[in-house]
Amino acid sequence: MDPITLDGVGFAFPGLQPLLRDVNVKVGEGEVVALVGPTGCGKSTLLHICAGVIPHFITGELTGEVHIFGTNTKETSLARIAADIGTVTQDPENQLFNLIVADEIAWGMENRGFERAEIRRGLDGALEFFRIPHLRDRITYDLSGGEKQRVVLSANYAPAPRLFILDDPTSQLDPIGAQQVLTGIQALAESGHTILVVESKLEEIWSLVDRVLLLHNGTIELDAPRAELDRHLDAFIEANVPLPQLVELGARLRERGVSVPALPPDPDGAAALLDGVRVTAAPAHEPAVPSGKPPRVVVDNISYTYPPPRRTEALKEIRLEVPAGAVLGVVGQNGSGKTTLARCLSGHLKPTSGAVRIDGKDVRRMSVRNRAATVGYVFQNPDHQIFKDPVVEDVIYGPMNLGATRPEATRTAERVLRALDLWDVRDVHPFRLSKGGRQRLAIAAIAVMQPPVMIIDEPTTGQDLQESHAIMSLLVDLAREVGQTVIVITHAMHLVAEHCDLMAALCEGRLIAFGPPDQVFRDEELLRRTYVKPPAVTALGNRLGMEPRPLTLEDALERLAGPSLKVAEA
Amino acid sequence: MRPLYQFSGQDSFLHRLDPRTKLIFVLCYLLISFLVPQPWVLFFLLIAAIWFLAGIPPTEYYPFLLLMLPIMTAITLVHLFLIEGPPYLWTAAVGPVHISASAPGLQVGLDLGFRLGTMGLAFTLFAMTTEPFQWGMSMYRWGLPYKVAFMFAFAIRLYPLIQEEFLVIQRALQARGSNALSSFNPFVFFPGVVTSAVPLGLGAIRRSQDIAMAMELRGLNLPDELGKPRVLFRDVRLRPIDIALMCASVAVLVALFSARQFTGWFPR
Repeated sequence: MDPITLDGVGFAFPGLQPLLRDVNVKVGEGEVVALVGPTGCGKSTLLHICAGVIPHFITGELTGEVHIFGTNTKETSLARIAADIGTVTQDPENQLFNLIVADEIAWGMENRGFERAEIRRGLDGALEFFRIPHLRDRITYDLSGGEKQRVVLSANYAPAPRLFILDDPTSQLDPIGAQQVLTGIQALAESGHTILVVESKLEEIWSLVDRVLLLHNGTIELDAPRAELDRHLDAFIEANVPLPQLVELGARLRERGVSVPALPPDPDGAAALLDGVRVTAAPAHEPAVPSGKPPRVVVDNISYTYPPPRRTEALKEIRLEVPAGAVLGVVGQNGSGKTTLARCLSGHLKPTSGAVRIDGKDVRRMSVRNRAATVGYVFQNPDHQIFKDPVVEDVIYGPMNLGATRPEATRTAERVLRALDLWDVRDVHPFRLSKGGRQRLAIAAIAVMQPPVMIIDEPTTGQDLQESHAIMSLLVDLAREVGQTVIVITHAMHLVAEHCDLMAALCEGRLIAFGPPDQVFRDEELLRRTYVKPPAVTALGNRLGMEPRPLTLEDALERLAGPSLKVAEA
Repeated sequence: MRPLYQFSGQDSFLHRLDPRTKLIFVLCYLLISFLVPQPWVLFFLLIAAIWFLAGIPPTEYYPFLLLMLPIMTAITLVHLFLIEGPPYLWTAAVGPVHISASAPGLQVGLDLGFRLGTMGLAFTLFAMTTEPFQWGMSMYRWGLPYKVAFMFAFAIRLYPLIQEEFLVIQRALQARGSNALSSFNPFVFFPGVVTSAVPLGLGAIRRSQDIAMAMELRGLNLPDELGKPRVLFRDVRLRPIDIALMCASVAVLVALFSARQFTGWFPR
């Protein structure tokens, strides 16, 4: 009996156009299948259908046949369907219901009527399997994101389900948290579990996956074994779904008539296959912001220690200067001090020592209004920043707090909303926008106040590649056109490489590297201390000694597809 | 500083007591605070108990004390000026209006203020030393339906998250040039609360839908479906020390009540 059989499945939310149509999928016992597709294409909806959430919990028009281990989901209750499935979604916070880790893991077994001895065995087994016995008696809200998600995985694993459905379980985690969870998923795959997974970082699960399903235009457009994916590059480009950078590089080199073998996603493996290659020379990267400009933001030897009982020394003697019109990427592991630095920059926290000056003025000496007018802060979750309805009212809320009249604020808002492609939805309730739309709205609501400095915390979380680049391009435009200094806190290294003029890497509260990305990304050993990995093409450039280092796939492609390329057949 | 009313997660004498014991102790303590003439003693006794029997110094929950201070002060001031003396501590005449501060008013105000403070502190003790799920399961043992008991405990589990979310929203409001939530002006503060309620409320609705779905998927309704009883992995049982403390709390309450009622030992 196949774990999942979808036969001609379609689905439409009430009153809306069909989201899915004629979906046919079979997932066999022990298979690991990745489901990929652009944002909003219906990946999570398809997983909900497989988990029985649709039609039992979320209603809509479901057509076709869905069988889980041979049972028709329409004819069985959600509780019975779910008893065979472990489901993990994006936000671990919404999947933890108990206070103590052991209780959380035991809870699913209690619900299934396990005896106490069985629960103890299941609990110990799950803790061991995911290598978290040390978390057994910890309080769940004190755990890091990666630890929380591993507890969620353990809680789903403990009752021994036959199928795992994982909906982008690493998307809200920092690099180390994601790595911890991926290790857990790897253990599940290696022990023969059947897994259907949506994972935005396909390169991270590349070696585990047997097959990849590409969901686009409401249906499965491609169902191919992993090894054959680079033959379907057009389908991925059409769907705006990135293949692992080096896999795509190999495919595009072949498209250009260069004889190279299929490249693996890891830079070491790819570099070995491209060993002895001659690379076309390229001029050094031109700095977008001319050197010698006076700094706009001066971080003058600041340290910050949280008050008792926490007492953590979150920042230690940070010094850096950022000129007007520059885009700075701040990177580092969670807990490295990124957010604390951002809060000191925005004046929300007062450094224990040292000072932050913007255009020569100490941020902490400014009033709340002045600070808002000087340093704009866009928080990670756009939903925490929506205060007014409709969109246009939300955008003018800030300028009006700063004393602008309604007509003045509306005039500025129109310009910003048009630039951010939100003008057509100005009369819509903000919560009716997509996540990407709400993220752009959060940026608009700050940009409209025209602060000289803008700080944006993780602007691309949960966005697809196209939306991420659109948001970053917009921030770069703001910096170039208005002369704003833009500071972006992010874990997305490919965006730092492509869009930032400068990057700062923090580790345990210290600034360990600062400079242009092509310089900072050279020292992989140093960056590893804070769990930062350069983009795969840059790491490949490091291994092949390319000067300057390629920062984007196109960059690497141009250099490797030059006329002097010589590649040995693998 | 942890969010107010959050379980401290330590291991101490108070943490190890059964939630039912602590609940009965807290209720008796509150009633006792209305019987004794010096409620401030009970207030400080409670701070000492939290410190020495639970290992939580006042620095860990000082925001609560700071929150109580203006309320206690306001109560004292109202009584100070509204209750007539003598003796009078201060008098003044503003035109035809006589204003006076009386010693009995100060006494009554202080007593009421400290009683209120004791009440809040007693519940803080309970919340900081009681794991919500132990509390929920002990109520389940006393006959509350499982889902009600579980949801009750889960609501407490969510409280720190919502508090944290509120702080983020407060900062987001400041980033938009509004300092309403830090204002002492009610005409600024309350509209600010309404404005911040939008993201907080909609976020809570979204979160609750996700959580309800996740609970279903983890089998919340499976025992009803299968008709199998639910086995509690970590059961809650009353120990002899719990029973002894419960009895002692009730006995002290009854003794003080009787002393006041029948012997006039405590002045009214």
